[in-house]
Amino acid sequence: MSVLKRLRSWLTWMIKRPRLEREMETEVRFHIDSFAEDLIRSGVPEPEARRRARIEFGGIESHKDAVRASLGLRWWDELWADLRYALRMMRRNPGFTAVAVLSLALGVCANTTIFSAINALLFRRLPYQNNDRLVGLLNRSFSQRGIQGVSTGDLANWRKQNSVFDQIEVTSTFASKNVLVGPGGSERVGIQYLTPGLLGLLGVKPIVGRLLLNEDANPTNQGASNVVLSYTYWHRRYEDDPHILGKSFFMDTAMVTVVGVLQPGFDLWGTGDTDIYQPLSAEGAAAVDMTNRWLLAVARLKPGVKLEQAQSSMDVVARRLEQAYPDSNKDVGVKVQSLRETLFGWVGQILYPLFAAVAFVLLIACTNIANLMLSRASARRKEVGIRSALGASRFRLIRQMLTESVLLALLGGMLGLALSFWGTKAFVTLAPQWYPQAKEITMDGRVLAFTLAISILTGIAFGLAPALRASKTDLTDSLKEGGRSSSAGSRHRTRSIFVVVEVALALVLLVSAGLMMNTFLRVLHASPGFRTNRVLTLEFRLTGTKYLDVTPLDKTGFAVVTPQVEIFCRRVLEGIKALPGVDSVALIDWLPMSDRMDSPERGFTIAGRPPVLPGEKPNALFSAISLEYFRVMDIPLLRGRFPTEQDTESAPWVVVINDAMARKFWPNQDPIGQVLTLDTVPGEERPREVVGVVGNVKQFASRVDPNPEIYAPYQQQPKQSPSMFTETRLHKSLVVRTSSESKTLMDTVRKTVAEMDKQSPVFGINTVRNVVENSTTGERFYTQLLGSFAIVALLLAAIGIYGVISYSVVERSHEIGVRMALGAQSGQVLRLMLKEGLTLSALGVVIGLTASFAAVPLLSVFLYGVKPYDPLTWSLVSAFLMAVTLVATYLPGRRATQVDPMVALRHE
Amino acid sequence: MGKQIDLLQGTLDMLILKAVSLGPLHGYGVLLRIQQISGEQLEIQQGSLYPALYRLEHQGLIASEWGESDNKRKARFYRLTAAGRRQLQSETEKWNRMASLIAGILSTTPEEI
Repeated sequence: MSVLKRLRSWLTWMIKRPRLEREMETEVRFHIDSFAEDLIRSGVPEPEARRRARIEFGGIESHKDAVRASLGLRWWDELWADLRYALRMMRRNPGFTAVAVLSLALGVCANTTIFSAINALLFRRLPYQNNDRLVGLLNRSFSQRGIQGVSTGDLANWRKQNSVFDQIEVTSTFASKNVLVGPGGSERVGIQYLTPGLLGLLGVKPIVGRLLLNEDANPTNQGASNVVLSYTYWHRRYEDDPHILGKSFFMDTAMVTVVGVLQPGFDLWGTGDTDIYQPLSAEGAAAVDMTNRWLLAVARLKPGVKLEQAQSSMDVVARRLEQAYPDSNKDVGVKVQSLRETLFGWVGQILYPLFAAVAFVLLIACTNIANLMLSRASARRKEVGIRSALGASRFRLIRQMLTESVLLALLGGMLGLALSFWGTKAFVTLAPQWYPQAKEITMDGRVLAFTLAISILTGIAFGLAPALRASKTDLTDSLKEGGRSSSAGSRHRTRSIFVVVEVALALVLLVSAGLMMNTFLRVLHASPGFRTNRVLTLEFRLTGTKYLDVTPLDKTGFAVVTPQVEIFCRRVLEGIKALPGVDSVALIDWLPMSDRMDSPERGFTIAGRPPVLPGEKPNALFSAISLEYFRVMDIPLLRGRFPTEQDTESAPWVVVINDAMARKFWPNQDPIGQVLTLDTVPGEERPREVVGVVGNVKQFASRVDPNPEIYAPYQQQPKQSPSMFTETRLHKSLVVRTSSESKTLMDTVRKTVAEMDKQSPVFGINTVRNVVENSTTGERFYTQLLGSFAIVALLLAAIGIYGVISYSVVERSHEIGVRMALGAQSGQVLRLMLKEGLTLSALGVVIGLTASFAAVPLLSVFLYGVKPYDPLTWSLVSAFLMAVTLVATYLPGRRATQVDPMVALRHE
Repeated sequence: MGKQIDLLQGTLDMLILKAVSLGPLHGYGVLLRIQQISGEQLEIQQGSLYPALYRLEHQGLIASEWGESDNKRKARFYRLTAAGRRQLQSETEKWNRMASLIAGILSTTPEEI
């Protein structure tokens, strides 16, 4: 109460400052006049009375000052004076101010940018209802690390057996692709499957129509269902047309009807590629599948249930399920995390090392400015001396100097904040396409508070040491004209230590960036195992009942791939082959390193081997190819033969395997002649003989080692297709070996395929080289970010060394003058200065290398083809850093050789 | 040195409160009143009155308003607030207790121990 009252009084006086001054003046004058009048009345002559009145009153200004102090206004006055003084000092040293503000701005910009990115994904609340109670459920292995998705069977069991959740829903973990046949032609759309309750659970509202209901999920007629559209798709494709409601389209072979459009901004995974939300049936025996784990479960905790309770409760459920379903659930546990952690927690692994890197940059900037201030502190020794001679306490001196440094830091912070506007833009531009919610990286209160906090903290951090040091000035020493300070030596030592620290920090960043650059180059130049030069590729997706007969679906659960697929493929191969400029052409389900839209593994059994538990069945990637595939792609034959014209549907079925598969399953044996059977369609799938072994290719990305893979001629496949493989059966990647990579040829190829079937979309026309390069965007992103941080760090460290040596030249000019007067050559003097600089940087490098040993393990997940302790990278960046410091030393060092002995000696 | 000032300051505050408790006064009036009650025994540095007055007002123990003085000039008059009255009372009690305690100690004769 009393505190509040005082605060109010303080605020009143703060605001009514001029009135306070006026009133004090009036009051004092009244007092003195009244006293003087009383004196006159008692007989004192007027001039004498006025003089005495003024004397008796005491120092008017000091009393007024005491009044201000008693109102708590004095520290404000002092602060104000300090600020004005600080501004004046800055104006008087524009060079120092510019360097300090700029280096801080760079540091703050980097920090604010990375913090904005972290904030957007890891701190900001998810925009969902009951956000605090939402959790994500995934499966994890009890015995090993590793996470996998959830099956509809898991969902059914968890719904039945859990006691901690109100509601559990599931959705697919990425947008799968399908073809929508609309009035304007066919187009490829992204589909996210979800149980209808999910939208309600998250609190998502429809902007048009309604949300999905459980009835929408029941596939009554050959997969026909109701769907809702994402806002962006509706906006882009249907231009916000509300008459979309009730319209039906063919989604490939199934009829879908639009019943609603979701509110803008709903995008669970943040990748922006979902166009249509399709209900997933998770009820009924037909829909429940124990093995296929492709979903994420989202659940709401019952009120008052903690995350840890839910985890331990689900552990019990998982153990119970392990007992009940050993085939599918052996070693399968449940991982309960907050929804945000589940969706975006993995990005932290990318962002936190970057955060450490930018913290280093800021630390270097701080050290740099502390150093500059120390140098300046010697120049201001006299000023400090006068101040303390006039009675300023040490605390008061420190406060004044800290005010200066914090003001400097705030200016730097403001500029940095402004720069981070572009920094954030650059981050979003550089971010690979898979980076989630990149557009959501924006400023908000938390980012501003962060920037303000780091600005003030850095101001104190770099201001404290110089302030403490400067305020310790010995009075008589500093006031002596031209006196050499006895503390100059120790001040120089502090500056040298700072430079060593800077070099060490910069080296850690350089080592990290060097390792990352090394990784990027290796990834870029790693052989993918196939030809990338002058090979074009495009994708097409056969669409409609012409290619897929869905009538048996309700009866057998399988659709039937019609002979039209094979006919179409042959026509494409022949048509493209005939084009001028085309050398050879082939087909594969999915081009390696492109976005594969199915679960690529197929389980199989090897003839003559003892049966294994279903959970331990061998599996490998599977690709159906046309005969020329290996020749077009230059994949070498290691053993046996390639598929030939004789390997038709009616001939014995064959496969070609890759080297990784041969080594894994037949380590000491010739795999040729071995027989295996795939688990695709029981009854229709036939045993296949291994007829050849080919070289490995990178199937996913340069950095992912080749997996075992099985290739089969595309004619030798079952007619029936389970729904999970339908996309793969109807999708084909075309690879065309050409004499040039000309745009017109690409166009011709695309048109030729597109004209063969107008209903089947043709897309993804590109060179194979580009496809491979696109798989390295993550490494490029990281290299660019770490690289730019390292360059800023290097620049700052160079400025630091330059500053220290410059100052050292000035400080030692007397000594140098003496040396030169005694006959030292300029080369010797230069060597003296270089020695000083190089000693510092060498020391910094040694410490930096030691620190790097601790830092690089953070990076090891991102590295490829290079060890964290790669001696080449380490020595190269060390040498580079030494070279830069050499230049930074040489420039001011040369000035030492130009010292005129006469001038230098007279200077003293 | 510091302690003496504190003591003096505390005393001055108390005297001011007492002075204005007898009726609203301007700054110069407070000075005169204190000198008058003390029988001209107390010497106060005149200017130091004002920091004390502003502080007491800041603490809400006295309130002020502008009025006209006897010599027809604009002056600021201070009066005691309710909080000030309570403060004065407790200060007075504390002072009296202290004074009698100290007096008791100082008047102790050897026989009484």
